[in-house]
Amino acid sequence: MLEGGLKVARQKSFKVAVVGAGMTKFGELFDQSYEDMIVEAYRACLKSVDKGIDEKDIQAAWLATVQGSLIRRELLSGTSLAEPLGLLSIPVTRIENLCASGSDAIRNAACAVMAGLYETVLVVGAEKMRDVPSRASLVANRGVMSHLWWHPRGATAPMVFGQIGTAHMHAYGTTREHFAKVAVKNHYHGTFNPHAFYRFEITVEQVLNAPLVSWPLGLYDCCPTTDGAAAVILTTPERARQYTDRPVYLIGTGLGIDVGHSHWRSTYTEWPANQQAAKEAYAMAGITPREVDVAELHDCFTCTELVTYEDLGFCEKGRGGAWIESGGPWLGGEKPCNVSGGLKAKGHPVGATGVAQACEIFLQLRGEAGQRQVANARIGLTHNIGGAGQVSCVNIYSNE
Amino acid sequence: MAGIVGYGAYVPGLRISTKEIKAVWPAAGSVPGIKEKAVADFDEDVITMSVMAAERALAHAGVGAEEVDALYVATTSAPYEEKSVAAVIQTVLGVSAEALAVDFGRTTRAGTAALINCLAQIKAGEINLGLVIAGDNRLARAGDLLEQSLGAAAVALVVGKEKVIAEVFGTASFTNEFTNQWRPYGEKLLRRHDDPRLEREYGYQRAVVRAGQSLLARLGLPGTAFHYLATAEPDGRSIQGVAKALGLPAEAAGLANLAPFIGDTGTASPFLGLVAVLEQGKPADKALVISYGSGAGSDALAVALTEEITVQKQRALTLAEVTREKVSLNYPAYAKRVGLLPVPPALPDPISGYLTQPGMLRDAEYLLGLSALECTECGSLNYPHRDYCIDCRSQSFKQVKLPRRGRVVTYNVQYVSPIGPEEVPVVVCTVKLDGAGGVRGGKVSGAMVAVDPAQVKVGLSVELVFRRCGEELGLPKYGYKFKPLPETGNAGRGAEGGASKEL
Repeated sequence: MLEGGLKVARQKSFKVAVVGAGMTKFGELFDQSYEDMIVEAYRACLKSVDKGIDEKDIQAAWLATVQGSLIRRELLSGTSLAEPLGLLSIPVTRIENLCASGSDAIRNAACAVMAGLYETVLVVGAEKMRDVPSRASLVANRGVMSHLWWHPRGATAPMVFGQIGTAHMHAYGTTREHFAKVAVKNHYHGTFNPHAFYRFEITVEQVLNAPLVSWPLGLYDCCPTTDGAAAVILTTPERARQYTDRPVYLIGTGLGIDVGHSHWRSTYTEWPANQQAAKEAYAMAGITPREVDVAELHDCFTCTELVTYEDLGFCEKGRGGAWIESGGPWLGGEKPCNVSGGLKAKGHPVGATGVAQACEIFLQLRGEAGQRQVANARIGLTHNIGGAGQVSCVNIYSNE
Repeated sequence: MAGIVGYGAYVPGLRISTKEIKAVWPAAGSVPGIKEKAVADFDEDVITMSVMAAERALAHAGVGAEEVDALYVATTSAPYEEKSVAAVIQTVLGVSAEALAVDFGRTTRAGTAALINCLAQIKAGEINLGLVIAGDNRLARAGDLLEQSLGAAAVALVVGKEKVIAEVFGTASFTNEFTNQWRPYGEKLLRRHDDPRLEREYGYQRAVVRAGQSLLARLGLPGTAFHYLATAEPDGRSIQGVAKALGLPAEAAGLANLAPFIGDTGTASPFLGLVAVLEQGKPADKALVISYGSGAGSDALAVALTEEITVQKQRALTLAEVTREKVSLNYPAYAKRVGLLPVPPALPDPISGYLTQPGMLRDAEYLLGLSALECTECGSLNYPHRDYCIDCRSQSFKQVKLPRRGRVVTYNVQYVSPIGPEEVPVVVCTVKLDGAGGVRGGKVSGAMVAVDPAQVKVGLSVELVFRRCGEELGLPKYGYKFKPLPETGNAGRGAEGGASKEL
C-alpha cells in the first residue's frame, strides 16, 4: 500500500469555532419521527448560543445519517434536513461515512469554513434506528462488513469487533473482565447525563453473565440500538465573538481509512485507521495525547474503547486492560473517557453519535457539564470508528 | 324513545353482471333475480366501506364522532382473523378511545345483533349515542352459484334517544342451526351444500319468517300493520315470499328489494333495505327489518318513522346518489379484485446478496472455484480477485488455486445467527493459509463447521471444506467452511498464531 505521512496541504493553523451545541435525549424515541428529532436538536442548538443567533446567518448545512436509505427507504439526503427546518435556501450536504459520519460531517463543515467559503454553518447528525426491531437494525443485521461465503450480509458488527477482542486477549492477556469494566464505567458516567439512554449502573458480574452475542462479547458489551439527533453551529473565530464570549475551537481533525474485507487487515489487535486519524489530528492541533484532558471515544463494543486507548496513545500498546484497571479513563481519573456515558450508556444513533460527542466536549470545555464535569478541561477529543475499523475520525477541540 | 338518529350507506362503484359471470360459467345455475352485484376494488374492503358509511351517517345525524359512546362493527369479512376492526375504525373516525368498541361477526346476522345490543345500552342509560356499522364483502369460489350473488356494501346507523327518526319499538329472534353456507377457519371463500331449495325453505324462509312471526305476536300486531319490509336478501326474489308469509302487502317489499342491483350484501343487507325505507317513508310508517345468517338464524326489529324523518331527510345522501357512479367489470377484471386470479407482486422478491445477482456472474469463479491471484512482485495471495495487490499495489498477478489449509489468526463465537438456516453458536474465524504470501493477503475468513467452541484457539489448524452456507429466497448458497484438523503435535502454536503484529 502507499504509505504517507500527514497529507494536509495547508500549514496555516486550523481553528474553527463552535458557538452552539444541542441534542435530543437519546433512547427509543417512538413518539418522535426522524424529522421531529432533527427539529428538537436544532432548536436546542440555537438556544445554546449565548448571545443568540439569527437563523439567516446559517449559510450552509451538513447532515450525518447512515441508514436513511436502508431502513427508512428514503433517499432524500440533504432535503431530510432542509425540509423539516424550512432551510430551503442554503446548500445541504449529507455525509455517510459509517459510524464516523457525525464527526466527518463536522470535519467537512469545518473545512468549508477554513476554506473561507462560508462563515457560519450548521451540522446535524440524526438516526432513527428503532423504527424496526433491534434485531433488524443496521448493526445487528446488516452486512456492514463483507464475508466471503455468507457474503455480503453475513458478517455483523459484533462478529468483526469480537475477532479484534479475541486477538487482543490472545496477544496481551486482556480478559473479558477488562472489557466489562468499560461497560461498568460508561454506565456509571451515564447516570450523570440527563440525555443518556441508560441511566443505571451495572456490575462486572452482570456484564460477564449477560447472554453472549459474539464471544468474547456479551449483550452488555454492546451499545444499544438508539434513536437521537444532535446539532452544532460552527463559525470563524472572528465571527464567534458575535455569538458568545466562550467559544470552543476545533483545532485538529483527522480521518483514517482501512480495508473493507476483514481478512485483509494487517493486524487484529489495533486499528490502523484510528492511528492514522489520530496522528493527523494531533499534528494539526499541535498537541500530544498527554495534553488531552477529556475524550469521547467510540465504545460501540467494550473492546473497541479498550483498543482505542492504545491507538490514540492514551496508554501503551497492549496496556488497555491495565489502564482501565488503574482507573485512568474514569471520571476523576488520569484522562476521563466517555464521561457522557459513551455509546454504551448514552446510546448510539449512528449518524448522530459524532455530533453528540462534540456536544459533550462543548459542555466540558465550557465547564457546563454539571456532575460529570472534568475539572479544568482545556483540550477535548472525539473519536469515531466506522464499520469495524474501515474508517476513523478524530477531532480535537480547545477552549483557547 | 330509542332508535335511529342518522344513517349512511356505501356501495362500491364496480359492478359485474350475472350475464358476464354466466358467460364464463354457463353451468353454474342461476340465483333468482340478480342482475348485477357490487364489487369492492383493490383499495376497498369492509373497513374502508364501513368508514365511508359511518362518516355519512354521522353527517346525516349531525353529530360529531367524539360524541359517540359506543362503536359496534359487524362483519363476516374482516381482513384479519384476530384483531379488532372496530379499533381501526374508531381511530379513523375520531371516536374517543374511552368509547366501547365492539366487534361482531361470524354470521351475517351480526348486524342486527349489534343494533339490538346498542339499543339495550341506550335504554339502560349506559350510553347516549351509539354507532352501529354493518358491512360485508363476502367472496365465492369461481364458478359457484354464490359468485352471482355475493356483493359488497356497508351501512352505518347512528343510534340514540334524541332526534330519533325511526323508533325501534320491538325486537325478536329465532336461532336456527340449519347450516347451508359456511366458511371454515383459515379459508377465504364461502362454501355451501349444493341444495339451494333446502337452504331457501329450511334455512332462510324458516328463520326469517319465524323471527317475524314471533315479533308480530309479541307486539300483538298483524302483518298488515307494517308498510315496509326490509330483510336479508340471498337472492332477488325471496323477500317477496317473506312479505307474503308474514301477511304484509306485496308492495311492502318493493323499496328494500335491492339485491337485483347490488347483490347479497350479507350483514349490510337488511340495513340497506331499511335505508331505502327511511329515504321514502313518511312519519308514522312502520317497517319490519329482519336479518339472516345461515347456521345462525334471524333477528327481527319493528321500526316506526317519526316526525323527525321529514326534518332530517334532506340531509341524507340518497341510495341513488350512493350508487350513481358505476363501472361494469369484465370477468378477468372482477376475478383479480376478488382474489380468484392472483395478481403478481408489484415488486420483485427482496434482492438476495448472493447468487441471484449479476455479482454472481463475476464472483462464481473465485467464491465457488477458489481461484485466487498471487502477486508476481511480492508473492501476496489476493483473494477475492483484485486489480491492485492488497500488499504492494502491483498490478501483476498470476492465477492460482486457493490453498485449503491454514491456521486460525483470530475468531469469535457467534450466538446470534446472521443467516439461516444455521445453528448457533457458530465459530467464525480469520485464517492465514499455509504457504500463502502476504501481510494483508494470504488470509480468508469464514464460518466453521459445527464444533465445540471450547476447542477453538488462535493457531488451530483448519482446512476448507465445501458446504452449504445457508439459503436466501429458497436458493441454497454454497461455499466453504473451516474444519479443524487433527492435532499433529506442534499445532498448539503456529508461526502466525500469536501476535497479530506478525501479520
